[in-house]
Amino acid sequence: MDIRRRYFWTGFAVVLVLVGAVLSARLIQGKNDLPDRGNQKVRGPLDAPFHIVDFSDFQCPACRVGAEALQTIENEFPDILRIEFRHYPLEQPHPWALTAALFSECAAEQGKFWEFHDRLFSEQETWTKSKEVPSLLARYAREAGLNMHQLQPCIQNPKTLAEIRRDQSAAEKIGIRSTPTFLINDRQFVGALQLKTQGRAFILEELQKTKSDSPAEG
Amino acid sequence: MSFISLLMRVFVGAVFIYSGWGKLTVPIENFAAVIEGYRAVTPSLIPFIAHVFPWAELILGTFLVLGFLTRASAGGIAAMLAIFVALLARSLFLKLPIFECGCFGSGITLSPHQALFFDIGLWMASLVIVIRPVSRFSLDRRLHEL
Repeated sequence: MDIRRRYFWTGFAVVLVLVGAVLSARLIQGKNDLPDRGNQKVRGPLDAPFHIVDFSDFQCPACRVGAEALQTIENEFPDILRIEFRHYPLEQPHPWALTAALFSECAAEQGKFWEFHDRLFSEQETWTKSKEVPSLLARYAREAGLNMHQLQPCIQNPKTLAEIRRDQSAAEKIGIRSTPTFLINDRQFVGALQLKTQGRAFILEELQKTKSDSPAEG
Repeated sequence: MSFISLLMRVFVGAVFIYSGWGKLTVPIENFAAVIEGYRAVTPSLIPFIAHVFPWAELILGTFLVLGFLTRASAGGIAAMLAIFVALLARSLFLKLPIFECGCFGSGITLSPHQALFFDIGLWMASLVIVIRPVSRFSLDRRLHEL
């Protein structure tokens, strides 16, 4: 065999092995199946055709922008979206992300998750720069009408932390690496821009498919 | 000298294998979001780059570790590193809000500053390999001996 052929077949074999390895790894990782949390961090109709899961971190500025983008999408498609929040606090760059997640998880326990969520994002610049983050978060909780006698033990309860870690490990299992990441019916979109462009296009596409699949009325 | 060159070849190649593998085994949207953050290419090009670059990293990195088409692989890697260095320098100059370079998937987290110095080091190492490709423990040598 001449040298060119040797090189061609060797290169071909190496690339083939690599493609096989990557495809196998993707197959092992599987689909974006998330265990159902059945929690209070959900809004929208139960039978909504689109389920959006938002993996987010309260201290991350991109997540604040992501939450705004999600709100825009929700306003554009009312009644057909079910929104679910899941924690993915990135503690290395955001030292108060876990504390905020604990507070919000306890707000969810008292059925006030979304009010607290909105407050954390709308005042993100204030509390993240504060020197008294826990007391400021406690003030937000009080102002949201949370029962403070229940809140403190809830924050210190290891089960609350375990809930957050469960969200995090579920995210890592399906290949989520940054925040905010949105799953729309198992399709991943990373960041506000992808949500606003590709995510929105995906919803429109799926709606179009449903329309053309359903029999004509009249 | 040849032992150090061999080490450089394996190290640069291994970094590229790690980097490509980390991007290819998670949904490609993660890397697409990283590219978006650098605001250097038009949105229509992002999916193409997000698909092609990780494969190029994995394949060229593997070729370099194996010592297959050593000079060409090192040249390809040097060209990619030159692009990364330029992008990182630009992002620092423009003070873009990038806190993590996103260069190596999720396993290694480096700030743009750290990544810039690391990439310059890798780029110089890959240039050394282009100039003096090591044939020791390489497929190139084996293929020529057959």
